Amino acid sequence: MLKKNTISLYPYAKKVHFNSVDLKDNSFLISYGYDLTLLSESIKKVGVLSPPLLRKKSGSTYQIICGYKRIRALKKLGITSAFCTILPPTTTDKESFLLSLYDNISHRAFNPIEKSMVINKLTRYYPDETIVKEFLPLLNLHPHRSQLKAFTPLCRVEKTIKDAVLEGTISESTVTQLAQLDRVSRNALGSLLIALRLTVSTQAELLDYVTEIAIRDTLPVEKVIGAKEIRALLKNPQLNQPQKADAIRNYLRARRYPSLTAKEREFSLSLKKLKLHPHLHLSPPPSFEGNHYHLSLHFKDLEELKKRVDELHRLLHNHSFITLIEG
Amino acid sequence: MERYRPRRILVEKAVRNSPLTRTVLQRLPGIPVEYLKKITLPPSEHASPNWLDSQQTLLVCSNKGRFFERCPGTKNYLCCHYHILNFATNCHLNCTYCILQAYLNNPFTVIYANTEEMFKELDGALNHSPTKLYRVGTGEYTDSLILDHLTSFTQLVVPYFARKGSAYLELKTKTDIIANLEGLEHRGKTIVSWSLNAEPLITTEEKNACSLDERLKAASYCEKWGYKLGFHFDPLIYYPGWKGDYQKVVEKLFHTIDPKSVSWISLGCFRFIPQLKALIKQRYPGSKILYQEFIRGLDGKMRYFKPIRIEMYTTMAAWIRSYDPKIFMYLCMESSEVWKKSLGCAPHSSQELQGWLDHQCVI
Repeated sequence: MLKKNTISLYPYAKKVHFNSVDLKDNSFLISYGYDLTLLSESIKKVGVLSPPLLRKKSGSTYQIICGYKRIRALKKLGITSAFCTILPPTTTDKESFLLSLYDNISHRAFNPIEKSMVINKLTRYYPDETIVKEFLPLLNLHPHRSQLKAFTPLCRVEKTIKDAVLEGTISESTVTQLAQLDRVSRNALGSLLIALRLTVSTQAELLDYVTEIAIRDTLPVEKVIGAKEIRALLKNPQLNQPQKADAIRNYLRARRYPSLTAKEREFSLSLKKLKLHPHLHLSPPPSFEGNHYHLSLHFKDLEELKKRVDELHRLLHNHSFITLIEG
Repeated sequence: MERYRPRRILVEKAVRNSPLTRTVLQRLPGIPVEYLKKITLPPSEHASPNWLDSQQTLLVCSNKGRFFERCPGTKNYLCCHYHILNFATNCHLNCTYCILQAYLNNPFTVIYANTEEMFKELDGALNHSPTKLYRVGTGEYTDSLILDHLTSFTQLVVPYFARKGSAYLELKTKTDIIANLEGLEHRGKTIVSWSLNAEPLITTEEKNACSLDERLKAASYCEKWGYKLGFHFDPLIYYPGWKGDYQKVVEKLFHTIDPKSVSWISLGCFRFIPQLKALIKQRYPGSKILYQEFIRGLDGKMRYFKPIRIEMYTTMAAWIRSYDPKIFMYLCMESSEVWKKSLGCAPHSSQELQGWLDHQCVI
């Protein structure tokens, strides 16, 4: 943390030409996926309300500590210089980074990629225990090592995946798992998830199926995803996106659980053959593990109930039904 | 198999003069010892990533909880009403599938040195119903023999059970640490059991444990010393080629051991509480044991899809019965349906299963 007197670094304000600001130096940048439109509009209307914070580098060059977006917006507007607050060169990297971090924390929430950027930069200055205990809660993360491990690699994933996270196509929990994979596997799986636009829980389900099939069958992830069945479903013009997603999910589930899904198909086929009245519904025990079947019936009056009960009586003597239940 | 030798020892001051503490310290010269007034266990969160390292700390302390308890069993499946004698916790064999990873919140290897209190508690429980038969195991929270080269605990507990008419002791192990068992007066009241597995699985999932041959060799010594034997094919792990590999284990078993020396053989397919999955993935990323067809069982544990379990049990039972049709086998934590379909019979209740196993002790 900053020492109590750290901020009294005798900063001073000065008009700085952007030619003397090293815009390629991202040492303290912790923003990703920002849009300058609103900021530019604001600057156009009311100017820069809070001057960027710079630190003098070697010679006459300055390094940005806070205000990457402001300076970029100003440049975009054709403005070449601005009043900035200058910190003396004696300001350490750690102090500079903390200024940047707390400046950002004070007015906005970080996206998952930015959280990862912060964590990675903090590792230069603090041991893991301190980051877990003191900084993860500031980032709205649980103070647990597993969170540190999950978020550290996020900022190193490819841009398409990072952007999908910001768009909400890939969830925070999914990207933490993708980040643990090798680059080729991650991009293959990332592309599929982006194409299918799944819910958070279905993303997790699909990710589990693919990675677990890959481990079980000693196959690269991209081979599992590259299966001809998946390719055919993706190309199928008869299916809309949700239908493709559903079909691919079913294909992967059947590949992951071949015996269970075969049994489900067999049960469903036998049920069809029974031609139960649509108002009677029979479900097998969950995963066929126990022996508790569930039967429900719908009726609107006593007359209809009597019909359903009669049908149930007939069912009890139906050989196919008995076989279905008793195996 | 490498014998456990800790890097450091923590001794609770309250048990520093216990005979068991003295024995352990005498056998571990040169290892730094720290005496603590109060044992403060590390928070599990910090211990967790360093699980393997933390096991290298041996904690000798008193057990402030219960030594003797009923095996919790599991809901909705038949349970054998076993009892547990909790004399130590943790195990450096680190089998990939081990439940202790999710169960223990203390990563240290722990020996409870207040053995006087343990035997007092045991006396109280066993004398309370002297005619009731107890099957008591020490292999629930650790391997029964993994620390015996340091503690010689078997030299206390085997003669104790020899004197207790109504109670039988089962020592379950994957080791060959049996030297202390030789010459003990056991009076047939101790069953020494080995957990057996297919050899490729021993190499990948039980790599710190004894090889199959070493386990069977140790079992044959115990057989010579007059001990009754038990064998546990638990966990049975499904993988392509499991049949050939498990058949070889059964062949080796009966090539080495006379079926008449065997009190029981248990079969139990790999099952795990859902929390264990993340731990196994994290600690043993090369292990494939999690990726077969698991479903959530009636007790919330993940189990192989029922037809797979039945196939494994039926196949194993047929091989085992080909050596002795009368050999006693039981399924661990399974339903009546699976029993019937696999072994051809089923106890009507957990009490009946208990009776069957109790009978195996006395014959």
